Amino acid sequence: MSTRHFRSRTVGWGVALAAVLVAAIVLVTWKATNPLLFLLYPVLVLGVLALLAMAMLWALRHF
Amino acid sequence: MDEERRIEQSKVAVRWLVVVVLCAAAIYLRRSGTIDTPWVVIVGLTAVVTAANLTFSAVLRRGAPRWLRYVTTATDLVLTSLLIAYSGGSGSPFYYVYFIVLVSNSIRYGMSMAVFVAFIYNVAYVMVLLLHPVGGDLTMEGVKILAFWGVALYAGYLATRFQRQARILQSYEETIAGLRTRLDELEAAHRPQERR
Repeated sequence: MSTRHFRSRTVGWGVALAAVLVAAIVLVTWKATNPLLFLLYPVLVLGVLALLAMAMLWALRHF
Repeated sequence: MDEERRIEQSKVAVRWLVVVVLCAAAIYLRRSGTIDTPWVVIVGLTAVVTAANLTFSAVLRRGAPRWLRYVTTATDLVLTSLLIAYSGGSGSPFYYVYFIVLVSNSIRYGMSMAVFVAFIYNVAYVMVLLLHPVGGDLTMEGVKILAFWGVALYAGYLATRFQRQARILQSYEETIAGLRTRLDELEAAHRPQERR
């Protein structure tokens, strides 16, 4: 029996937040009028990756 | 530590080669009118890279501190950005030099360095776009930055996988060496008994 440290609801919120961040990436890329907005990319890209990695590891029962 | 020193020394050697090639390319493109980079910038950047490389060589004579890898990589990216900013900005023929820095460092140091390179590139390229505005739609520039992030993360992932396999191989070699030693000891222990 493996113990699950995250509830499915937490992971669900994580995936939803990842979707919001992906939408933000698309929006910034599509509508940016100032190059300074591209400075948001590191936060957005790494945020999406971290949240998706968390969901993937949860699905594979790593935690 | 020796491994890090060897890697940084090889980076110094490659940097000499890249400097010569880039300097020759910049002079040729300037003379043919493809780029309008001022001569003082070409000479100045060459001098700065030469000085930086000599400094890195001097530091490496004493050893290779852990911070050096980040300093050398950040220096390479900043100097590349200056060359790009003065040779046409986003349309510069030297844009692809970023990928040389990315791939050579990611393969050597793995995912953490790939993310570091992508972060510094992201900030530096935004500065290039501010110094040399594109005008109009910036979507292509956004896509270029995102593509760089994609290449960086994939290169980091591949390097991490390769490093893990190298560690596994090393542990196998150590196990085989240990088993050989034990086998030799056992054979040596049995030999005198056989003679009796």
